[in-house]
Amino acid sequence: MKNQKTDNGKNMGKRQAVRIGIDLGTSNLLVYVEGEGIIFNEPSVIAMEYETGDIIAVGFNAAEMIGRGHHGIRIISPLNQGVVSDMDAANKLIIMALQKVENVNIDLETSTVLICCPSQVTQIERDSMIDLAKSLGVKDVFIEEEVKAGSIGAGLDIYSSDGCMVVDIGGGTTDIGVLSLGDIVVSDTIRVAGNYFDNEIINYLQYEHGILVGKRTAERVKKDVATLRKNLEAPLSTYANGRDVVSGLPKHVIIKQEEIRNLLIDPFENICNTILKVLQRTPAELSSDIIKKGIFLNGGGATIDGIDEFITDRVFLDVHRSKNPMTAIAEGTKILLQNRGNYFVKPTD
Amino acid sequence: MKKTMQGLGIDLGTANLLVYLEQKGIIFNEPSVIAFDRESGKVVAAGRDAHEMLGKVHNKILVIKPLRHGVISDMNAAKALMTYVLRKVENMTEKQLSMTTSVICCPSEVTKIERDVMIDLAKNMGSPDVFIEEEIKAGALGSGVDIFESKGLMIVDIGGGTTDVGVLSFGDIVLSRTIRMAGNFMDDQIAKYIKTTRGIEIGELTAEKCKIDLATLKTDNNTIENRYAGRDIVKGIPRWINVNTKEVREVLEPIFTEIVKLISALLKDTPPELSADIYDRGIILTGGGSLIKGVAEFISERIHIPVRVVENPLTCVAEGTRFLLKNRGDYLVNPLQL
Repeated sequence: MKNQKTDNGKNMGKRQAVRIGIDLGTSNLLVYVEGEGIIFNEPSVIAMEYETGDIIAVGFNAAEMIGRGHHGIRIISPLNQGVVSDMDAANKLIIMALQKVENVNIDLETSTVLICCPSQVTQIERDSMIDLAKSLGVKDVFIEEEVKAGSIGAGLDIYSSDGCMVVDIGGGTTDIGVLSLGDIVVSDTIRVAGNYFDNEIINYLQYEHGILVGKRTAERVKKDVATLRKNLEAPLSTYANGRDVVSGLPKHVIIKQEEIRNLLIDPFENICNTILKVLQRTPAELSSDIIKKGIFLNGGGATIDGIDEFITDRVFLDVHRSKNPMTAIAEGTKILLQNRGNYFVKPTD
Repeated sequence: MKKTMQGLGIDLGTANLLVYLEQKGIIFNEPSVIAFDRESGKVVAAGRDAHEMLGKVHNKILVIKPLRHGVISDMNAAKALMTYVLRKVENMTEKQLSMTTSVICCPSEVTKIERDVMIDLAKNMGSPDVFIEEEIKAGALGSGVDIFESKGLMIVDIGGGTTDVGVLSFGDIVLSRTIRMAGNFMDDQIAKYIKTTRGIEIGELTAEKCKIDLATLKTDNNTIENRYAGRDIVKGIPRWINVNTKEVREVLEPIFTEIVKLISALLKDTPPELSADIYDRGIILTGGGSLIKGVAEFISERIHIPVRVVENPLTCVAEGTRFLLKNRGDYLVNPLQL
């Protein structure tokens, strides 16, 4: 078919041009390759040797090393708040991810690559995404918004004239968008998302419990007990191990679910306010569609317990979680690769 | 040469565009709305599809209503819309178009310049032979009334952008008056009413839907209530509101009172001989506004003349162009007998 440009295929031997969708998130990198599906779904972390720059680990293995490395290892999250902050590391990370493909020999030069980014990033930040793809040798690259890809991946028909609202709570950014007729009508991005919650937890533990914990521990605490429910019927508790701020000795503390909930209320209030801000700017006709359909949640933040109830209390709209919050964006790239993000060509699956 | 010319009747209304093609009938009957891609200028949608986009688009699409108050306000869009209809829907070639005689209908009280714009539009499309006729004339013909006899007749056409009142006799208009209070104005008033009483902003489409669902001028019937959604103007969040027929009637009454005033004013100026005819034959109502329940009663109660709504209020203008194409609007030739 289209993706197998026979002329090039002949010259390059077995190498093939394919269509690749990349969801380069602050916390997770997902790579979709046409015909193969999602081939990579791991944390966007890479560990390199300090002196030589050799890659030691990527993904899960590298994430395990966060806060545990010695001076010979440099552990990098190439993205910060949704945008590329370390070009070289990002480049290497994607190359490593693409090596997971088994059946096709990808010819990057003739492939089409789609990279997703938050909706409210500057042109320079977008350009840096394009530069990243160019540095991989890809000539044909285009950028699309994560909310757009995410809503398609979540199974919404954004190509109809019925508006819908999608909230994508990712690692670095929370993206809120109103979509209609295949594109974004209104959107906003705030940099309050997963990593921000982790930092809040780290700060809280330091001041309230006098214990210093690493990012990994904070993330685990969040995953274990994070909730936004008003009434906790059977409150859970978890533990954290770290270093005592005063004595410097390793320390173990028990954390109640309530504490984490109270900690999360502020950032989520912030997110709700941004949702309200977007709703205020939404044309009235689309408002009437949104009230019928409700809000759809995507991204890691959507998995937090009680989030639907929390948002409904403040925005008075139905809130639905998508079935696949973590992979929705990568799945949406499948569709966007077909029509190159063109809003008036409705791609057929 | 004349025999080979194909007749093309165009009712380019503010709300709906209807195209009548000789030998084929009405080939297009959809809202006069067109949507463009902002960057490339390509047509994305037209007619009903574009109508659904109103108030819902992102900034890559531009949705335009090429007409305002019955006259062309955006020439390019009007041309694109006509071209779209003829080329895409009807697959007419440029050559076929150059073999057409077109009649375009317009409100009765438009300036010469506004009429010339209509002619330019048809010329732009590639139709060499164009003439303009009044909508009320076509409407009366299309509803099956013989306007060519020496009997006076009054017609009221409540359209999208204008309400047209005319007295016809001997195949042409004796006198007429136009006001810019019609369907779209009613939508605006309904939206304004809901905004002031409920603090909810509703979109154009919702207002129109509200009118279609609930508009009535009957005073005694049971009130129906319906639910519509809009945006709270203070908080910005979407909200449901209930609107009932009584409220909509309150909004519509002043508008129809104005229309009645216009009818009486015209009746006052009508020559007495024609007045006598009108008293006998009554007033006929056409256009989308005549679909509102109780409108005939509302008018006849106030001016004490029988009023009836035609059978095909939305298509009668386009159907009337069939006759006007035969006699080119010449009042001496009765096309009904051709």
